[in-house]
Amino acid sequence: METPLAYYLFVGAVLFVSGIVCMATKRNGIAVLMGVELVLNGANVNFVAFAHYTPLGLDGQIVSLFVIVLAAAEAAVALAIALNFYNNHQTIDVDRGDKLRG
Amino acid sequence: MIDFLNHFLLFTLAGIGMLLVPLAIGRLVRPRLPSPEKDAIYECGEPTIGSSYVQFDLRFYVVALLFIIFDVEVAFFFPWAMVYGNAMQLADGNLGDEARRTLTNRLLTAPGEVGQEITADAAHWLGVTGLIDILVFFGVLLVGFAYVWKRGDLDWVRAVANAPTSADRS
Amino acid sequence: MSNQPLFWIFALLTCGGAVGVVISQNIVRMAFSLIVSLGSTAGLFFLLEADFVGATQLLVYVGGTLVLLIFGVMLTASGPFQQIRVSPGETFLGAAVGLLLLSVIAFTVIDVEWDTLNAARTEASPGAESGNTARAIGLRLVGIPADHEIGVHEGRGGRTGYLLPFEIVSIHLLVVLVGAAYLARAKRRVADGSTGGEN
Repeated sequence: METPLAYYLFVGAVLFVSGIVCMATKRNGIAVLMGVELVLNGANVNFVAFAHYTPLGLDGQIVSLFVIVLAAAEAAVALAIALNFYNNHQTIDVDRGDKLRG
Repeated sequence: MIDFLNHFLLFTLAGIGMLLVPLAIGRLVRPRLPSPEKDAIYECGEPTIGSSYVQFDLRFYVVALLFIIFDVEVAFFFPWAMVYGNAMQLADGNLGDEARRTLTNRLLTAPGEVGQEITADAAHWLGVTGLIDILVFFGVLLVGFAYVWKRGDLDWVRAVANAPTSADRS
Repeated sequence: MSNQPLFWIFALLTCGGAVGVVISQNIVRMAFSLIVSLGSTAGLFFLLEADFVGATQLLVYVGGTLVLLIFGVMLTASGPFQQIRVSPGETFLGAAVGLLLLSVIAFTVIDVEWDTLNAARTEASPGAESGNTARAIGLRLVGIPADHEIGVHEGRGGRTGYLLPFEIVSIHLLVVLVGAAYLARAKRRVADGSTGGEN
């Protein structure tokens, strides 16, 4: 008996919702970034699960590969922005960044 | 696949056991004579100052950035290297039929029912185009590396050497 | 072909880590939970016979992106800012909305008949089934769209597999490297106490 596809989709859903809630409720900028990573991973689980369970074959795996790479790049840039924010405001609380002027 | 599961569980249990058994033996055997000096946090013989949540120097960030960029690059090198090695083996003109069939099946990851073997010309073309692809990929990234190097982001002591003349653009 | 126990172990670790990221207040503990979650996701990838994606997940995600995030924690954590409190009302609202969203997705997943997809799976490309995917992924990345077309490369016009995304990734990484280094340099200049105005 093979694990049903729905189980993997459910794991992906848990990752996605955790990421969304993390992005919405946390006030630490780095924590918001962690929420983004969780959302991307939920999407990745779905991609790989569909690649395995449907005739799409390797395409889903390659898309998830690109998602991993883009997540790494996104983390690098977002972290640079967060560090600039920290340097300007002396805090990482995103609620304090409500001015347009740096 | 049940084999795989058993191996995994065996490996996990062995790992946990090898961690716990020496700790348990040490706990049973060692004498217990605590003193304030022994209970102190060890920090290379120095007295500890403050918490361990210190702020790192910002220069570490550039190193981490370079690390992750080239980490991604290395991850893309692996599948290319497997294809390239296989293709270059197939590009050898005086390869036997049997070896050619085996290598073709390995390259196409098909369990033995591919109709025709890859000819030496096709394999050579595949290897050369793959090499050009990866060289373009690598070259573009090297442009970024050269930029970072040229602008002095890698100089560890730059901030001390010429802090007042930091307006070194253009 | 019973991977069920392993699936449960990895799925529980993945979900537990994700929930741990949400409910933890300490940023360092959040980072650790994230490591557990993403590492177990790699285990799920291995169970789905996506060995190269799982290895890349460990190499790039757990070994690279998370290290970068922990660097971010260490570069910004100082005293009172390490824990930023969220009011109980916001926590409750977030939990309620999250559970609602999760139940919506879960009901959708349960409702759909996925077995029809399973039936069509047998015609999938052979590389995806054997679990030895690195070569097949490499072939697609260097521009061979399908497994059986190497010998007939004369008619290759217009079909380049994933070669274009592959090269775009390199341009993207170049832009990221230059841009993030630029941002870091501007920050260091401010940190030096000299004029940061020209940026």
